Amino acid sequence: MSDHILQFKNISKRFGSQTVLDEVSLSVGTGEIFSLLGPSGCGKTTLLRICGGFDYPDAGRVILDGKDITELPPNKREIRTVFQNYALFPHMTVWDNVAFGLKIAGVDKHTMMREVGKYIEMVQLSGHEGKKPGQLSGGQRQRVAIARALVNKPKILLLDEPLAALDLKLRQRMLIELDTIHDEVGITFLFVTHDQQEAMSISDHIAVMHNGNVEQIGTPVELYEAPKNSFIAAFIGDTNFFDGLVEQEDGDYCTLMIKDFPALSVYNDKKLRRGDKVNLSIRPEKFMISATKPEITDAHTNLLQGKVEEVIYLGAHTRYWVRVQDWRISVVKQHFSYALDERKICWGDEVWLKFEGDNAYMLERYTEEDENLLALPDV
Amino acid sequence: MKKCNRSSRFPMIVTIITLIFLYAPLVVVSISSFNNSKYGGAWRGFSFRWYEKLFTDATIWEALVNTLFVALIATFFSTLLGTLAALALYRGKGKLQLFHYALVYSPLVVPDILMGISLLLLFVTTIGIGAKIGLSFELGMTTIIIAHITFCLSYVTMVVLGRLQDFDHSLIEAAQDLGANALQIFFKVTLPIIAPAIIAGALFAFTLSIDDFVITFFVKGAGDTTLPIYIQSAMRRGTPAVINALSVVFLILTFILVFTSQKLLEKKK
Amino acid sequence: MKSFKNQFLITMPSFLWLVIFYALPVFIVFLLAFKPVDPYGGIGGGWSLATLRNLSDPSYPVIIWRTVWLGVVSTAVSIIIAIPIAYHLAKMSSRLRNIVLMLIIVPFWTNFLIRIFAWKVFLNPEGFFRRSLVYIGLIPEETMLLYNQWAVLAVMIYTYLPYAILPIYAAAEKFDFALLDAAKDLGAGSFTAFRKVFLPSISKSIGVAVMVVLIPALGAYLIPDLVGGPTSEMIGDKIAQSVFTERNLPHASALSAILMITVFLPLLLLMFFRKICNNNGAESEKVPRIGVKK
Repeated sequence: MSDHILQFKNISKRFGSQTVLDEVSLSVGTGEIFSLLGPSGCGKTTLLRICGGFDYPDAGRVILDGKDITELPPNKREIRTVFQNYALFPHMTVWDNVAFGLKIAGVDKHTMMREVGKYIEMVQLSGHEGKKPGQLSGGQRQRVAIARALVNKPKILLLDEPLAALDLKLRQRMLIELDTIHDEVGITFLFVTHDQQEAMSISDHIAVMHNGNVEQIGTPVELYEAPKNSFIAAFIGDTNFFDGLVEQEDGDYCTLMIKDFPALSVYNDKKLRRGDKVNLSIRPEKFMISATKPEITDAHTNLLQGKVEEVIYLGAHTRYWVRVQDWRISVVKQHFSYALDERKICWGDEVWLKFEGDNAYMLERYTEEDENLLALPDV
Repeated sequence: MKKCNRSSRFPMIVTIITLIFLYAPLVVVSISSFNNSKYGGAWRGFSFRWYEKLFTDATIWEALVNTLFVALIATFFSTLLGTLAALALYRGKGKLQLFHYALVYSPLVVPDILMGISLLLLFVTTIGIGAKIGLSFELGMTTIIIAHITFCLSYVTMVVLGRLQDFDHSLIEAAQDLGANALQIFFKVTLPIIAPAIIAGALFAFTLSIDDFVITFFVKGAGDTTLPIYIQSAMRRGTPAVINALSVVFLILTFILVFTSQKLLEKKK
Repeated sequence: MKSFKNQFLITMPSFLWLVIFYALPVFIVFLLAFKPVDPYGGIGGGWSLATLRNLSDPSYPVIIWRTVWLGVVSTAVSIIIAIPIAYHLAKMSSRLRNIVLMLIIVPFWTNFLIRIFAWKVFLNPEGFFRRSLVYIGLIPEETMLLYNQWAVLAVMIYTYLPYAILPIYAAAEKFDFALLDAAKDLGAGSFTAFRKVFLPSISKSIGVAVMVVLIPALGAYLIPDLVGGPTSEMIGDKIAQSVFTERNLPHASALSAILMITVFLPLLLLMFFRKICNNNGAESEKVPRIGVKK
């Protein structure tokens, strides 16, 4: 009836004195990959468990395809889960693991053979049917778990940190495969992860959770380019924060005063007024770094001058740390041309940082708690 | 990778001396079992006569049959009760299970003799009460079996509970997720996974039952003889040579048992 | 509430069994200590303190002391031997280790009576071992190896040593031996490293070993009965004597009550200290856990 297959309505959950979910509401579109993203302890796993029926909310409803399933036990829901550690039955073969749900459902033998075979083939495990989970690699176990969950044709597939146990290379490959499988089966995926890159690369929509609340729901691009607050800006990707004061409104733009900087012209989408305190977020790649002073033609182009403190060459791009008075700014430069031919900017060089007023993003001041989060090293 | 410095010799020496300590008596018994002499001591020539006597002695065979009879019944019931107890303890919370756990655990730390005497006193008291109301009930195979079930139960529970605690609870959630109900989960997931532990617990119970002397001695009736009871009564009269032969048979059986179980475990890994 | 009903149903069989055949008998032991004995070896009517008065017999303090002494010494020796063995086992190549472990386990699984019997044969006055000792002049001709406290101690250690080795080995196997190299690298001698790094990390298993050896050792009955003499009786022997020879069940239960207290006292102490240690440890480990439900 609606294009939202799954809806959480004002879900609250407490464990003892701890509020794990605080009136969480969100809707998952039919057929999409929806991610719950957030640092550990944000409540995303609890929300997933409530969806799967392994926990019950203290308040709120879970609506699946128009039906209230809040009170249903897991075995009565048309939802399947891929568990974090896969939870494969160790005493059964791959085939038996995948067939388990169909056997329980009492499907006839012919259909079972066909369906199990089909899904084992889909996850590229043909030839491994007779093996026990103990004989499989991490990636293969992951595939069994996915096939096992899909074989019953659930309305939603829940994936609880499914890639956490895999190493980096394998994780990237599985991510692509998950995407392929999703395209093939057309089932809605609800994906829980703490890894923003995973969420960004696979999701249609992401709900960023923090302390039991949904901070923002949006497409990956929206979250990255238009974060609702400083927490999101810091959690999704890297950014530089500068706290400043609006000096003057100027049509669509405004003039911003930041300590030690010249007056900056920044796009004012939030219609801030003179005297408003703001937190300016500029992503590292929005800066143009150059050793010579660039020409400024546009009134809304800003220029800072500083000194390179650190250079980290990363192949596809280079990260610079540039000192501008008391500020330490992270800058990323893509290498469009053959890097060996480029004139290198080195440690100690005086440089110019240019950025467009349209590419900076003004946010409200962040709290102390956010500041602690921002202080976490970028892994 | 040579780690042989002076300091690491000491543990090796202790190990070797201990192994000698463990095996010296067994070696002497094995040699004595071929000694023609009647009461051990001086060597009187090689002979198989004690083995012949062992396999023809009706009392020993009767004792063996009794032992196995008690062990099989006690193993069956203690495994059943012990497995149920483990499942209850694994899932359950609250005061009842805390008390249940104390009940299951404390027999493990009570010396055999206390278990024996306390059961004897229970049986004697029951017989006393029974006599007053005209029911006759005596010490015998039944009381031996009850006693064996009681002390084996706790061991089975601990073995199964140990396995259950390693049991990944998300497997149950996975089965639920795939549509299974409580009964299906138990028979298709839980039971097959803990089956090895149940078998191990049953084997343990069986061995303990066969091995037990002290408790049996307290609760047995006048004529009941199990193998340990037979050995003990024979030993009170000295060191009869036929027991040497019996010891060797036991040793060989134990060796085979331990060796095969080790091989089986290795294969699993 | 179906799950509650199921839970109750699977709890009850073992629960009732143990209440009837374990808790109730233990209760009776304490109860009967206050009953008089009747002339036919049964239990008399009414109540009496006669049994408790009988315990003031001067031979009892000696026997209790001997029980504790033999129990503690055999435990201590077993553990002192078990530690280096566990250490050595943990460092062995896995092939050799399996063999040695098996050699240690086999006597452990052999029938208890047969093990005692083996010692009786081994220490036999006419046996090979005693005659060799006499022959090389280590002991005088008239010394008997059997039927004294030393024989009891030897057999007790023999019996309980594997109980000590197995838990300590289990802990030692998990020990990261690189830590010893690290300690040596930092200037510790081999023994210091062993004492300051290895021992603390297996200390819990030593506690377990003490428990599993000391408790049965205190309740030993067969060993002193079969290889000890009249001067090496333990409480267990006295209990058996009052049951089978004197036919005085109230007396036996009074003695059993004493033994039970002797056994449970160290156990309670151990649990008490554990609790203190755990509490101290737990303070620093209080990490808020969110979203994790057990």
